[in-house]
Amino acid sequence: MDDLEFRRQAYTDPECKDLSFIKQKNKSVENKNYVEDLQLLDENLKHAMNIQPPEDLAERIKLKQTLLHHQDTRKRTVLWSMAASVLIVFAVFITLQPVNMHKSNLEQQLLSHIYHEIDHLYEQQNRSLKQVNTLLSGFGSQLNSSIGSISYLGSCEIAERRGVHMVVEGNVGPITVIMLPDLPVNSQHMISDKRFKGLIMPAGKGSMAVVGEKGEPLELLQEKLLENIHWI
Amino acid sequence: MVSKQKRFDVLVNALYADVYRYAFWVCKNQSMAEDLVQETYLRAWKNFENLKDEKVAKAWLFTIVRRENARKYERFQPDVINIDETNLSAEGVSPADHGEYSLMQKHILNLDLEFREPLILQLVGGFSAQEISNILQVKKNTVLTRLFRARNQLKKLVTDHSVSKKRQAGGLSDG
Repeated sequence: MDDLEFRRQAYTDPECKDLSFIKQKNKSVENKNYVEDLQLLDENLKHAMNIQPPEDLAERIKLKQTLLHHQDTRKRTVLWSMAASVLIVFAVFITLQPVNMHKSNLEQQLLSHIYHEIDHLYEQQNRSLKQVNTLLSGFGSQLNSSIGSISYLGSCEIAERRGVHMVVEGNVGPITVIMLPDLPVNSQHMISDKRFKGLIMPAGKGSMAVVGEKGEPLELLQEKLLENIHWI
Repeated sequence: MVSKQKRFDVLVNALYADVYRYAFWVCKNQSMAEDLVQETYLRAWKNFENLKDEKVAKAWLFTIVRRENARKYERFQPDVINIDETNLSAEGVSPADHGEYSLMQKHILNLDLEFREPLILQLVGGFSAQEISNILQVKKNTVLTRLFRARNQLKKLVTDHSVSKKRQAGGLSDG
């Protein structure tokens, strides 16, 4: 590599790792200084370019995507429900027995979801009320004040409906709160297995589940939620 | 099998800050950059099946930023903004250092887009000259020339500034 090439390379990428460039750099103190000078310029440029994005930008991106997904699902649901209504009318004629296979299935799906995303119980995101409300606003709800320390916040999908998945610090361990504004239930149901216990209850036009470790007094959080949540 | 939603959330958390930085330095306006980032991620969600390999996710998102910027703002080019009015904040920069970086930010904003963009891709994106050439759809040699000229211009501006500062300091002490 000749001197001209060396200088050109230094300006193109002062961090270049090519052997011929390194050799030329180590040839003289002058060359070394020349490269180090440009490396310093790069350091300063990186600092200057490293601007902070707005605090809640990530939440806003996820919210927009959730709304888009919501709209698509709604469109699909309308088409399916038109087709399904024909079948339902037919089915009603055959049996007047109420169909309630949905319930136990939903409880099972909630537990499976918690196990599938068990890592969320141990995250330390420390979300603010503002961040929670940014996400909730996409689901037509808001919290008036904090319900406790929120260590995870995200959206989720249960029974093909979008919802909000939160983990709140409890007395015994982390407590999962899942809000499903598009999935109504008629009444409160218990959820329980070897490790977890909780309940799913009607909330707004949909439902809300609160699930914690066995022995966790869930009533406290349940009360806080019912007091603080409102539906837009 | 990780769900589409999970993969998308990971992509947002890991890359939104760099995508925002790239968008800002390309369009030179904070609210336009925010819109660009949101639009970019919506497009990414709609075309998620096109992303075959997560390793190229950053280049893929940056390419969408470019396309969206061209589509939305190509005709609108803001005047060079006063850096003090933009409330820019650089991570890890103490208030005492801020003046130094805000001058550097002004220098970067004053570069023509054709020189500014490859430099941003190299220093913010961490891309090689070949990768930059793929993103910008220009020859690798063109990328090399533009990187050379971008640094050359910036070096000159920084040197000129420090020379005039020294002169000023000298003048004051003389008087």
